[in-house]
Amino acid sequence: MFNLFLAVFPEIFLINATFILLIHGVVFSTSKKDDYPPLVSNVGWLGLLSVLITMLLLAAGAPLLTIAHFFWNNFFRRDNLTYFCQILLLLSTAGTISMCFDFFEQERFDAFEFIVLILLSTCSMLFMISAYDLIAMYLAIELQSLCFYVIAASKRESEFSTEAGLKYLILGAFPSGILLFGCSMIYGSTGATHFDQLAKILTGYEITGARSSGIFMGILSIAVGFLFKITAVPFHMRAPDIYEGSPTPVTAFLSIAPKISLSANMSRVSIYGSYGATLQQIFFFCSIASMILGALAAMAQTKVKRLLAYSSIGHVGYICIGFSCGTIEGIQSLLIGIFIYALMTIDAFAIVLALRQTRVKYIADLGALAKTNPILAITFSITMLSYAGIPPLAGFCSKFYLFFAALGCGAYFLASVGVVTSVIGCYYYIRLVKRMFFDRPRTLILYEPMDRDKSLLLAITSSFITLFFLYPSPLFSVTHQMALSSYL
Amino acid sequence: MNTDITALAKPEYPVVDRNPPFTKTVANFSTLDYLRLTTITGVSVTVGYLSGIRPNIRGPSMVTGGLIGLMGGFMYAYQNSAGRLMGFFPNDEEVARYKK
Repeated sequence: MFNLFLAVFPEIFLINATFILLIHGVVFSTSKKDDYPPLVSNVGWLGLLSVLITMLLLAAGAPLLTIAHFFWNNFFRRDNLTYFCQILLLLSTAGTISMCFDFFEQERFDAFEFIVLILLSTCSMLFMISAYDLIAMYLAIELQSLCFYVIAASKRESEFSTEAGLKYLILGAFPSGILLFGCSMIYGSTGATHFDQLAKILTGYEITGARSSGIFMGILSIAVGFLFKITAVPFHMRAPDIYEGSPTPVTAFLSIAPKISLSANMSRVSIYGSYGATLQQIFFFCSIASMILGALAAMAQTKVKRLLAYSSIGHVGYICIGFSCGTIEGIQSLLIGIFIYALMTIDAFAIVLALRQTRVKYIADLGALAKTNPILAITFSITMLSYAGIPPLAGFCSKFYLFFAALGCGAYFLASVGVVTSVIGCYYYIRLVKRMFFDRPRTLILYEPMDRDKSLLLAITSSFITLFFLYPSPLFSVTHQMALSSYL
Repeated sequence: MNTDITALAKPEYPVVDRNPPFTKTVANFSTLDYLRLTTITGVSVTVGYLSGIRPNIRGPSMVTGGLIGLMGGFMYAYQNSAGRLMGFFPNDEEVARYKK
């Protein structure tokens, strides 16, 4: 009986570790004997350790993850897609936690619950990646969302943070309702919630009459719910305000982690669960709209975080190209795009966090960076040029593969919109580079050296971005395996 | 509810026990498994101690780190031991011991 749970050892460990840290935090942060110590860094380091041990359990126990697949297959699917997406998610969580420590000290941020909520949302996203049933998917999405609503408002003395949390709550509860409505419509019309059963019913089966409209409404509602959650256009309105108002580590986490888990889940729903023209058309439209709006709206931004928010919306558009294709190459390019996007975003936000020490908020404040901290300026430039898709950086490879997949399935208009918006996007990315290297600073700001954790993180991610073109085949073969497993 | 233990992936090595009980798996812990358990616990206790210096809660932080490390180390060792018995990891010793 115990062996049934071997398949979910990583999740069980992470949940238990989270509860241990919660109890530790509650007991010792309220301890009069210890003089009410601030525990956020302490819990942060133990949380980072927990994430690394979870990654070890996942990586080392790969063959065992498919044990008792009939028992777990009612709710979870353990395959290559699950495995690699979970590894990427845990790497992103570890990267986000490691860039927080200096932030806690600088901002005198003392809520240890922040780390507990990050770990709890990571648990939920691990389940979301492997969810194989509409109910399991919804429960995982809700647990993740509830944690995010709270951490967005975690900086209690900041009105912006409270506003961001409130906006996230109200505008996040609404799509959750739509998603659940879609699940109920699908269940009402087909009697099934399991993706295997839905695949048999919905693929190549002609349904007429009221049942057909019920299924269509259900698929549409599920797609709308998903697109709200990943902040694709036209459901992106809350994203810039939430990303700007939340504390910067929260923004980093919100930009990276949900994209990984939701994309993995969406690929199961769209490619396996309900393969057909309906979802493809929705993603096609949202991809074009996100790319165009992400490119045009970012041009008008003056704040660094808002610029990165619109850049994130644009990148969601590029990622949706993979969904629009409906082919194995599309899913493969989507996974490559997600992986490279996660690393670029960790890099970008680590730099933003380093700059926050000197209260850099506006793009105009970057004026002196090349003179006072040239290495940081070069790293930031490399990241921005990678975002822009300039060869031979990693961002170019991800866009190239996405456009290639679009051309391969005949979506010529999609690929051409992608290319044009990439060119437009170059304007605001290169504007940052120009500001750092060529403009006279408005005021002289002395940049403080960054801490060791962020330096190490930046070194790893920027090395990957710069040197990826030399040996891209491991990522290509791994993502090809992941894409193939999602079709089986 | 189907509680069959069959895995989606076929075992690459000889299967000693398809569904070993908890006691047999723990009794099958090798020296390497105990070393893994001890290393993970030790590292966790160290991280707990070092992170507890600043807030001045070294002892309790070591205990928390130790609990997390012990749980993680035990799960890692159990995973490896069960994997060897089920034929997913190299298991020459287990085959020699149980299939005499």
